[in-house]
Amino acid sequence: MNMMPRWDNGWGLQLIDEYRHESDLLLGKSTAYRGFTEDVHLLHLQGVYTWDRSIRLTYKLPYVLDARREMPDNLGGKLVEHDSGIGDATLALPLKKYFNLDGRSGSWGFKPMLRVPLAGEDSYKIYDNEWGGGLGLSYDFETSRLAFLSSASFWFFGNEKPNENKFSLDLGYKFYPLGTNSQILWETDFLLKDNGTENLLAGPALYWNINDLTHIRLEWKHDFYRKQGKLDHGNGDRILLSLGLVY
Amino acid sequence: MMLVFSSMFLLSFGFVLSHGADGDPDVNQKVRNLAAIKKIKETKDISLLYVKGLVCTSCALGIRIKVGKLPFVDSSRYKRGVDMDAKTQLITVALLPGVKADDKSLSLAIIAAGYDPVERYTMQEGKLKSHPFAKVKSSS
Repeated sequence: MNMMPRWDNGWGLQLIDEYRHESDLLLGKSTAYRGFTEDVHLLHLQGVYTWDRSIRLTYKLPYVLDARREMPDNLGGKLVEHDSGIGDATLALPLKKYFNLDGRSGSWGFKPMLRVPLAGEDSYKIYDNEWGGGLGLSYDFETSRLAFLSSASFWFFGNEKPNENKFSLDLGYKFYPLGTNSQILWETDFLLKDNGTENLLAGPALYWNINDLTHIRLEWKHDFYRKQGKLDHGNGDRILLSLGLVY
Repeated sequence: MMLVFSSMFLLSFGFVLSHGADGDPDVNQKVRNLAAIKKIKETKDISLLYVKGLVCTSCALGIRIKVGKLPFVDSSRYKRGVDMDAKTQLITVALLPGVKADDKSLSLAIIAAGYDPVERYTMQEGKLKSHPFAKVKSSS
């Protein structure tokens, strides 16, 4: 969720359209198969309920509209695989400690998370259909002009899926077109997996509160660095467009 | 790679520390007082409050929701009876004509919205007078 209600009994809902394109198959830092692409189109439905400003419940439910990847067929050609359907859901209980200062407001956060396997079987998997447990930590603050968000999350999975650690830093500048609130951000994510995969993604995001209830967000992230612990796709971009409501 | 990432973290913490002072350098009590005097002189039937942490009016939608439901608020004025200025952190509550605001209800509504009310302003004998809210322990 890009905006979570801070007030008691607040609700939020967000729909995100995500498109990812990756250009090559990588192994380690090297391109193992150039031009073997992967294209993934996802919809995410996310929601939040705030009991009071310190306790929330959130859910994230992804749906794979279409996923297509090219893999080597061991005969010198390409094997095309597909995935579609519902993905694994994430439930979380973000706990926040807010601070309100003169001209500045922010929070410290602690977030237990649970991954619920809902994904089906296809010729390949965008979501792994595995239970997982996670912990998130965060610190953020904003003034009327600037925003700073930092977070770390740690996921632990049971079977084949490697554990994941993710670190994020976002810096934002706020402006006020036509009496509304907007923010332009530079966002950076660093992902580390137990199997040796490392991925640094970064890019701009534009956030616009159309009115008090509705916001939209456009985000673009580019793979600036990727090392694959196993043969997998990389060298790509992702674009996300989201529409959110709070009340 | 870890060096690059560590440098980014250090730069970001530098950013945090450089903005670590309590407040926006462009806004201080003097600026807020001048804005409060102007507002009170120009507008009738209002309660004018300084709310700590109000830096984004959309994030503070909860203030409109909670305060707008209070019985002495004229929700036909402004948006739900509340006007907010994220720069000065002043909120203007529209009051029904001839009705007095209840400070305790206002204070509890703002706390329930996730913010901290500090004081209410009035003009007395041509001078701005502040009326601090009683400290109420917030839930977080």
